[in-house]
Amino acid sequence: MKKYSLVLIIAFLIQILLSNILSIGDIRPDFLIIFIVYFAVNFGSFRGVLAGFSVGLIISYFDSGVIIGLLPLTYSIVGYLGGFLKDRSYRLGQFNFILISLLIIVFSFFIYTYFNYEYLFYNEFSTFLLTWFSTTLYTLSILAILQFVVPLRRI
Amino acid sequence: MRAKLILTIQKNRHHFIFILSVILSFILIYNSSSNQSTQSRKVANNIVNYIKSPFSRFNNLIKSAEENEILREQLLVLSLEKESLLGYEVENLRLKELLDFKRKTKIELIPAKVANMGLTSTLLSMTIDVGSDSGVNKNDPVLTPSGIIGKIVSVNKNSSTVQLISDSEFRLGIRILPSGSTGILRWRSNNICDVREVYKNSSINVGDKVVTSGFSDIFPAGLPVGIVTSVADDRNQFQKIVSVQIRDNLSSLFFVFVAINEELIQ
Repeated sequence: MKKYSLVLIIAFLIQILLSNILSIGDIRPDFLIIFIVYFAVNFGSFRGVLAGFSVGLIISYFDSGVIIGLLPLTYSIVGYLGGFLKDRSYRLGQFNFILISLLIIVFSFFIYTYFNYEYLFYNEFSTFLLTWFSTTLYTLSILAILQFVVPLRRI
Repeated sequence: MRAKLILTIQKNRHHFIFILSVILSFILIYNSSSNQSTQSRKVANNIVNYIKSPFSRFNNLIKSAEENEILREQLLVLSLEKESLLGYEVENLRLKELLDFKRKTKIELIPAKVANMGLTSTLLSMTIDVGSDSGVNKNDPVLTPSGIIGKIVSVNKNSSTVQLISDSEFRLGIRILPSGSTGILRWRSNNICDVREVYKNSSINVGDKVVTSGFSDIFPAGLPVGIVTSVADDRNQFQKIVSVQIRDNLSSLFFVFVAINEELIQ
C-alpha cells in the first residue's frame, strides 16, 4: 500500500508539472487513470472505486477546466471495472486481459468526453470522436510503454 | 435475517460503494458551479500555483534571455512603425472630424501571468493571476499581441479561468480584411482554425488579416485573431472554408492581456 501511495504522489506531480511539457498539440496523457487501473487490478473493485473516487475528487478541485464530479465518476468506473480483472490474468489469457483493460480506459474516456463536450456529441460528432480518440490513444500509448516496465497482468 | 443482510452487503460491498460513488459524482456534477465549489477550487488552485512556481520561475529564466533578444528586435521595428503610424493618426483624426465619427469602444488591457495550464487530458483552459480585484469580469476577451487566445469563464478574487480558443466548444465571430467577409471561427488543430459560414463569392486571399467581427457582446470589433492560410470551397454548400493560423503557441504562454470593455457607447 505504501508503494502505491508513493506512486500516486509521483503520478500526481507528473500530472501537475509535466503534463503540459508532454502534451502533443492540444492533448495530454492522463497518468492518474493509469494509476487507478494498476491499483484496481491489484486491490480489486472495492478499493479501486474508493481510490478512483478520491483521486478524481482531488484532481477535480485542482483543475479549473473540468466539471467537479466528472473525474470522480470516470475514475470510479475505471476502479470498479478494473477491479474485476484482479487475479484473472491467467484465466482470461494475455490477449483478453489487455484488451479488457484497454476497453475500460476507452469507455471511461468516452464518459469523460461526453460530459465535457455534450454539445459536440449532438452537434459535431466528428469533432467529438477526434477529441475522444486522441486523448484516449495518447493515454493508452503511455500504458503500452509501461507494459515493458511493469506489466499489468503481472501485478 | 439481519446477519444474512450484513453478509450480503459485505459480499457485494464493491457494488454498493460503486453505486454510492456514482450518485455522489452526479450530485457533485450538478452542483459544480456552486459558490462552495468555486471557493474550494480557488484554494486548490493556489496550492497548484505554489507547487508549480519554482518550475515556472526556472522556465521564465530560460525563456527571458531569448525573449529579450526578440523584444529588442521588435522594439526597433515598432519604433519605426510608430513614426509612420503617427502620421496616419493625424490623418485619421482629421478624417474622423470630417465624418463626425464617434469612437465606439474604449478598451483597457490588464496584463496577466499564466499561473496554471489545467491538468486533465484536454487542453481547454488556463488560470491567470488576475481576478475581480483587478477589474476582470466573466466573458472578458483574453489576448496577446498576436491575437485573441480565449475568454474568461470564471473569476475569483485574484485569479481567473480562461477558456482557450483551442477548446472544441469555443466559437468566435470574425471578419476577414480587406474583403470584410464575416464567419464563425473554430479550432481545428495545430494552431489552425476553420472559418465557416463564409459566402462563396467572397474575395479572400492567403495572407489576409483576420480580426473579431464585433457581432457578439463578448468580443469588441477589430481585435486581431490570425492570418488566412488557405481558402477552399465547400462542395456541398454555398460557402467557403477558410483556414486561419493562430500565431501563439497556446501551450507555452507566459503573459497575456485581459481586455476590459470600459464603455460601450451604442
